[in-house]
Amino acid sequence: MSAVHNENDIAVTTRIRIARNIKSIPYPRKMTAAQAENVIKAVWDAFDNLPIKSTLTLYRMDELSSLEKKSMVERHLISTELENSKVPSAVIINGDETICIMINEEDHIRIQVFSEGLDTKTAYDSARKIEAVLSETITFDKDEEFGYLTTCPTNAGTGLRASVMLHLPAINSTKNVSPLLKWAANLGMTVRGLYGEGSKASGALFQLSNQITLGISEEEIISRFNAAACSLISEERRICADLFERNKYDLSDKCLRSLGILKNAYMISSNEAMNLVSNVCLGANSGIIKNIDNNALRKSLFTVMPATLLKNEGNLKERDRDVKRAQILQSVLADS
Amino acid sequence: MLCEKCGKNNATVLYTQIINGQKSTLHICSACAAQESIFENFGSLLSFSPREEFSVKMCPVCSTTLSEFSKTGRLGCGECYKTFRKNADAMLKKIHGTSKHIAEKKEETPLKEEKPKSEIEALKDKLKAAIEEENFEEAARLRDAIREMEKGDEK
Repeated sequence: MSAVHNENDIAVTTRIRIARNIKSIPYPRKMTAAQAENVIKAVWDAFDNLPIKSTLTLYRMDELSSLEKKSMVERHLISTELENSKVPSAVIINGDETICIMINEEDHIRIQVFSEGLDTKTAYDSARKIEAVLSETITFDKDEEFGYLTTCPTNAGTGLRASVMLHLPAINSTKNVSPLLKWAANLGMTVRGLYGEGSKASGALFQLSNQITLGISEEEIISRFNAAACSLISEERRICADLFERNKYDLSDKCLRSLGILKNAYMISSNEAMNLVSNVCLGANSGIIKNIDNNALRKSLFTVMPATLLKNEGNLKERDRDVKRAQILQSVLADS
Repeated sequence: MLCEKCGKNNATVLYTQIINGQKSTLHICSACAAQESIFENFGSLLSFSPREEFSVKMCPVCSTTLSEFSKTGRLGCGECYKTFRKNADAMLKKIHGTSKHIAEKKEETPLKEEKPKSEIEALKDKLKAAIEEENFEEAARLRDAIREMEKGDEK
């Protein structure tokens, strides 16, 4: 595997996901409540007597409030599919929220590991270890020819999906993302909006992930994915430099104006926050704005999303929420 | 004439049914014809019978049907991959370009398949090498040997 840099001026987080099903149990869309309970128990028990267990917490979906579930969706810990699951389902999350195992989502087990910036190695190694732990006590559904079996054949074979959240304000500002989608498809990758399939790219945040999970080795999947992510990142940098060269005045004004609003506004809506932060980060990447911690600012975005803000700050009315959001973002700016 | 079913509207459709070889005709109105779910019955007139195929192709474990799989693109359990093997295979090829999974080195490969294959496989490797070296005499000999072995296997 080629050396991977953290590229975190543009890459926000990397996620490695491994999908698995347990042999001889129907998949979540066809399972009974009793079978679903067995799966939850089998996965949770697999960590028994291991030191890692003390860092993990099991959250059952039926015991979480809808606000807590929405907040998990906003922070990309769980999918909306798990949030709305019809069978007993759960999620296992570790202390720093880098490990997140969804149980009875589309497949019985969806191991997800997150790392900062573009860092497939850390996330992949950790996900592989968890898969190995589970395989000690659980027999996965596997076919000689097709490999690991999944509810949707798009995940079969390795069950391995690598994705990275990329902040691409320069590419996004060209208002022409269709060549990007075509380019990705040619490489066996897909580019989606912030919240996955069919979602909009708010705040110029995109997700790149591999489409092909079968017929190539895991190593090959990761290295192809890294190559695609790196070329997308360098394309963003190239367009960013190009924008600055051709349109220095307008670009500087746009970025600094956003910084001004972010620093001084009394109320900021979540949508506005996404766009302001996006512009400020663009300014930081093109050298217009100095001394800004892109990653801290982007991360803070996820704490000011509606459900997460409500969960952390108690029951605020809409306008108070916007005030609180402005205050949080301003304190992040002051720190960086 | 009035519709033989509802007796209200004019009959505009001649509805022919063949049930267990017994032919029956009905003069019915278009509204009743629609209710008779004509398409289901048309299906049986076509060269293949979709109803029959669907009823055969149901997963014995989770009752997922082929039409459900085609509609949702999702399977219900591991057995579905056996029940709808051809369809799953075609779908995998469409998505991934292949349906042959490449096992990781760490993953165990079952021992049972390796032994009977190994002799033929070895010969096939030799054949490949012979062709690459343009040693066609040797290649022809190997090819015949492989054929013999494969014949033996079939018996």
